Amino acid sequence: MTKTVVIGVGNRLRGDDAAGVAVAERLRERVPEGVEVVACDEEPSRLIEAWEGADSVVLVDTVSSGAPPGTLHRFDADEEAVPARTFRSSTHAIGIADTIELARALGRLPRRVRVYGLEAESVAVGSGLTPAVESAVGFLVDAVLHDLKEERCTNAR
Amino acid sequence: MHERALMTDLMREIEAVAAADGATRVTRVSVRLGALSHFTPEHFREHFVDASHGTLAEGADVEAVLADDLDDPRAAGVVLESIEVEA
Amino acid sequence: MTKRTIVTDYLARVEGEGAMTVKLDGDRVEHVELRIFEPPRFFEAFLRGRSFTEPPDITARICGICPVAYQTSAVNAIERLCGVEVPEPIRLLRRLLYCGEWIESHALHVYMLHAPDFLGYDSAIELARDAPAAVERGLALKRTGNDVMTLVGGREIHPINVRVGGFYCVPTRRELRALVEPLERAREAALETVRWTAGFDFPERVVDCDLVALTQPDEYAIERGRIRSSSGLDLAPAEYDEHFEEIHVERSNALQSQLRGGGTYLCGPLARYSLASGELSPLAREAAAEAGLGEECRDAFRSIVVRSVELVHACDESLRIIDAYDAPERPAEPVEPVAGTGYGVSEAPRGLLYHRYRLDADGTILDAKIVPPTSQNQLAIEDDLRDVVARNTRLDDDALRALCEQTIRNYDPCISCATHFLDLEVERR
Repeated sequence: MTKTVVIGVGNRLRGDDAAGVAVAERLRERVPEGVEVVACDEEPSRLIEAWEGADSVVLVDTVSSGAPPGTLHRFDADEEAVPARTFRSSTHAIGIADTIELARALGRLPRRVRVYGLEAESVAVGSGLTPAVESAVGFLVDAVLHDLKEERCTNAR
Repeated sequence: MHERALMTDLMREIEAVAAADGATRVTRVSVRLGALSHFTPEHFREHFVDASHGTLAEGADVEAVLADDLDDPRAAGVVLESIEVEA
Repeated sequence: MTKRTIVTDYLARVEGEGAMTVKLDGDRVEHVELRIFEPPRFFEAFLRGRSFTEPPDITARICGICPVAYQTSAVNAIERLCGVEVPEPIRLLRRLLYCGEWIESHALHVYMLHAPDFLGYDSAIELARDAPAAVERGLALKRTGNDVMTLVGGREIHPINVRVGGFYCVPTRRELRALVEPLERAREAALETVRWTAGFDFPERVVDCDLVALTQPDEYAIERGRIRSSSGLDLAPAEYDEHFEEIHVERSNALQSQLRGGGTYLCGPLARYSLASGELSPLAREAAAEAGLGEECRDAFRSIVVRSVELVHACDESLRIIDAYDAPERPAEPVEPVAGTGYGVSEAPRGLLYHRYRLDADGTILDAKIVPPTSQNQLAIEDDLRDVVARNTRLDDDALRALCEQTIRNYDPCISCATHFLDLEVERR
């Protein structure tokens, strides 16, 4: 049985930065059996530990690339590096783009790595999700669930 | 330093909007100060006088309203609601 | 003359949490300014009107790297005001939790952020390609720090177990024993870290300002102590405001800390080490001596060696506390609110963290003040940057940015949490 981990990354107290964590919390009750869901900040060793032993990992984080708030980006990080500037983060330790590359250099990256980036509007301290991001969170939850089911079918074949 | 950074961004927007409109002078600036923005209207005015020095907005009237909703997603920021310009 | 109103509805935002402005006139440095985003100021507003029991939970969220520091300074301030001194086993558990945070934070800074500078790498990623064993050692050290924080703090990112008066629940002796083996391995890794960093090449960079740190008789101060300086200050936490002030910087609205009457000072590892290296554990002292450190260290670049020595000490101290641990009779002492002002300090990994709370008789917070180490160190960092820029005005912007980032990383301010953070604006005339 292959192991899949879904990791929502973010800081609950910093506006849209909480989106990754919100996705993780809403997925927790709904994922297929055998899928682990983790809410995490971007600190690299914690992320690398969270996916240790997994064959497949799905990461969800907020991004800032200049696209309209709520825009969804998707990257297959097992095939190519994710753009560091898009995932640039100065509020936590080392961003997930760097963490993925660090794990790749150490040979600690799962076989399959999908990264969803949700375009943030505001990451101000003490505010909640903005409406655009809030509605994108719901959409993203469904997208991840769809992915997980598809992966299951592929594995069963 | 946070206030100053917010102010710098705000001035950039004011000048950009005014320039796009072909204005020669900004006569009034209306802002809403978020409950967590750390600005009071008086404090904001002082910052504005300092930041607008030498710009199109120098000497503009400032209309600053302090919001009290802590749960507003924009509570930590400053919203530029409108500016009044002279052509 | 026609006037018209343009509706904008634009939300002003702060661009770049670490931004630096340099103004040059030929080779002359006119102005150097570093802007650092300062979240505590929001939290001070957030805390007003809340209950006196809430600061440890709320302030822990200010920083994902040093939540325990915020919790500790908060409970110190409130317990002192309310006349409660926690029993020794509780204090030692808090010290153990704090050691976990030092291990985590120092390992992150030394391995992921600082060491690549000395070895000529852009980042820890490139270092990991060439020297995976070293980076794995750093990650393992960090993980041990996380494990200590998770066990004692209840959760690693924002520990939830600390409360005013003590803890919500305390570990058993047996539970703590599970940390002994990983901590012994971590101590070996820390000693290896000292040997590794001591072999780097260090450009000379002497910090000549006043050094400020907590000290405590017969221990290396972490979770308590009196505020001392290399110039001879010796203060109780309540006297902080009499001697230190936050000043408005000309033409900017930055708040920076200085000694009253003018005077830049530095807190953090160099200050702690220089004021109290004699209180380090014997093993840490030995490692420091082998690494060529004297009793004092004012060399900004060698702060990486001092951090490594503090890693040894934090592992040693954790093991000592676990070895002598007897669970307290109860996890927390009852605390009744008292009207007045409470002051609390502790040594965050990056330096002195000061909290002040004013309560009314039913324990409602009327006013809160938090002065993090980063804003206390800002003037010293800017002085250093000004000097670095002055000696390198011929460099292009990219090379200058790299040099400035390295200079800033010597001081481990909160912003150096990001690898490539600096928005450098150079105005040349």
